[in-house]
Amino acid sequence: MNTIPIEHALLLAAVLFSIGLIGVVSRKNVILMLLSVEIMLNAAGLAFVVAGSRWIQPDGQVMFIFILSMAAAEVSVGLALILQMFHLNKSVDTKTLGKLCE
Amino acid sequence: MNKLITTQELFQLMPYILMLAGPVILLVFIAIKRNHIFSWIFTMATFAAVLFSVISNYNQSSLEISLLTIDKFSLLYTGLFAVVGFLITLFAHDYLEKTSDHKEEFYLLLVFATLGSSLMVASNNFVSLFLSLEVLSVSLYSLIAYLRRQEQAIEAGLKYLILAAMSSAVLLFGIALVYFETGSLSYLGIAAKMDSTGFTPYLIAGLAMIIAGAGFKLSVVPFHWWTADVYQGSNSLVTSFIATVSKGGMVGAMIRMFTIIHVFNNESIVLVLTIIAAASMFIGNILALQQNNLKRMLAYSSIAHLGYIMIAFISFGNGGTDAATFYLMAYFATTLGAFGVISMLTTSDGEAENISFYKGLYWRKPVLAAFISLVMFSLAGIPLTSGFVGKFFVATAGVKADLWVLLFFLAVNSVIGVYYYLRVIVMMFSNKDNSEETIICSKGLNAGMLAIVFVAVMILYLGIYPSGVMGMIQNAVLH
Repeated sequence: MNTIPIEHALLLAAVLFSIGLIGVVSRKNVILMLLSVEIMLNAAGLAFVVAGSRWIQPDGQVMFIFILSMAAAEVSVGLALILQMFHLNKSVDTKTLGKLCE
Repeated sequence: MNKLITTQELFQLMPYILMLAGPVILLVFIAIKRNHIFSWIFTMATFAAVLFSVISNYNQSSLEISLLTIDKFSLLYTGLFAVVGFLITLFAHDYLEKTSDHKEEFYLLLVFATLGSSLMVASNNFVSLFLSLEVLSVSLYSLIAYLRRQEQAIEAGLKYLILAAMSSAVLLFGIALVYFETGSLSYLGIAAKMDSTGFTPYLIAGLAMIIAGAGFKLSVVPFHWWTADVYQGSNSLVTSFIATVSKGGMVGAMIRMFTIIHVFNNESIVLVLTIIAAASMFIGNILALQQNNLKRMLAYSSIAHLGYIMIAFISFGNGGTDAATFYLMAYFATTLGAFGVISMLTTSDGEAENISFYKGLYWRKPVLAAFISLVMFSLAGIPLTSGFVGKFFVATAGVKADLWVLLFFLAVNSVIGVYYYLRVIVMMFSNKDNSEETIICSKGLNAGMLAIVFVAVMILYLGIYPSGVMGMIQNAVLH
């Protein structure tokens, strides 16, 4: 029986990671940027699960749970900041930022 | 691995336990009753206790548990961070009274961030490295945006959050690739596997991504875009924390990682690091030349300083790690001094960050002006200051490793650096013609003044008699 090569799963993670990266770079809405960062983080998590299954170790899945919980902490701070930004600017568009420059 | 923890081990882990317990206790107190003076003193006591337990553990034999290594190296860095945390806390009381309406949580986040940074240096495993890095980062997000009524602070916090989360993702993907290739997350396991397989493509890609993620925290050149904005937008105490403890933690973590995993055997990685170092020095200095905002200037100059540290880093086996650690100490002292003064001169109207604010400062505040001059001399690397000795050690390590091109760049950049540092001094000694703004500074002996005196003594001590500290570093640092 043919099995799927493990590299394909890693490739999937890499593709997801690139999608997230492109999202962060191209989006102008802060919430969507945060969402794209989440995609990147979860792609890294998927890569860990794949690597863990290659070596038949639990480490990869443990690491994935760590990534999930850290991402949750990050998002909670991020959303609080976005809320405050909306409060001050009435917008979540990065164009309304830009107070920091010469 | 399955044994229960012994009293001895508990004692050796005490610096980290204290940094965890201190803020938790403080949190309970804040929940019951808010009191700024109490929180302030309690935090200083926490840092003092951490320092005390570091000193009392310093001569113990090193402790190796599955996630952390507590040896002289990690204790040295932990002690250093505790001192920096203590000094920042000294500045913080007056500063928060002037600027913030919620004061107490600042201290919690400060101690947690210091804990993250200290654990990064102690990590001997990618799992603990990642977790401690996140403890540091998540505390920093909220610290940067701490003055939440200011649009600038929110903008800086959001920028840092998105970019830091992105860099964490890059770092994590790199770790995942290394794990995929070697089947181990501990440095030792990876090094053992690497000895048999060599540098495979997955491994090189993974290490490159790890270096990129670390480079973001260090704000070296291709990853430096956040630096100036975050330095300017966050309040000056947090800025000094980012410039010192956060970067120092990453440097320490990298030193530990690369003493076990020998990436310097691979020529392409060394080449990439060399390019990063050279580009950081030049781009940092050239961008700093054009700044009229002191915080932005220091941000760009920090990029250049990290470039200098990278030189020490590349000359790894030749005393480079000692030089990097010494340079960090020297840089810590000067940076703390610079941002400490900015925080002391800041009023509730805004940060004292514009360079014209310092015009004629000498005629109004001679002591502070003399101190800023000392800091600028040290940053520029004038003899008798810590900055000079730091550069000297870096250059010595570079000579031993035959990095002539980088040393030439170091010399050129030191000259460029002198120009913009001296500009600040010239500004302070020029006549006050348009100084309608008066500097309000609390009178007499306040806590910030104490910190400034300590920093000034450290700059001169490291500059005049470096061998005492250097001996301690050589004894502690990994080779």
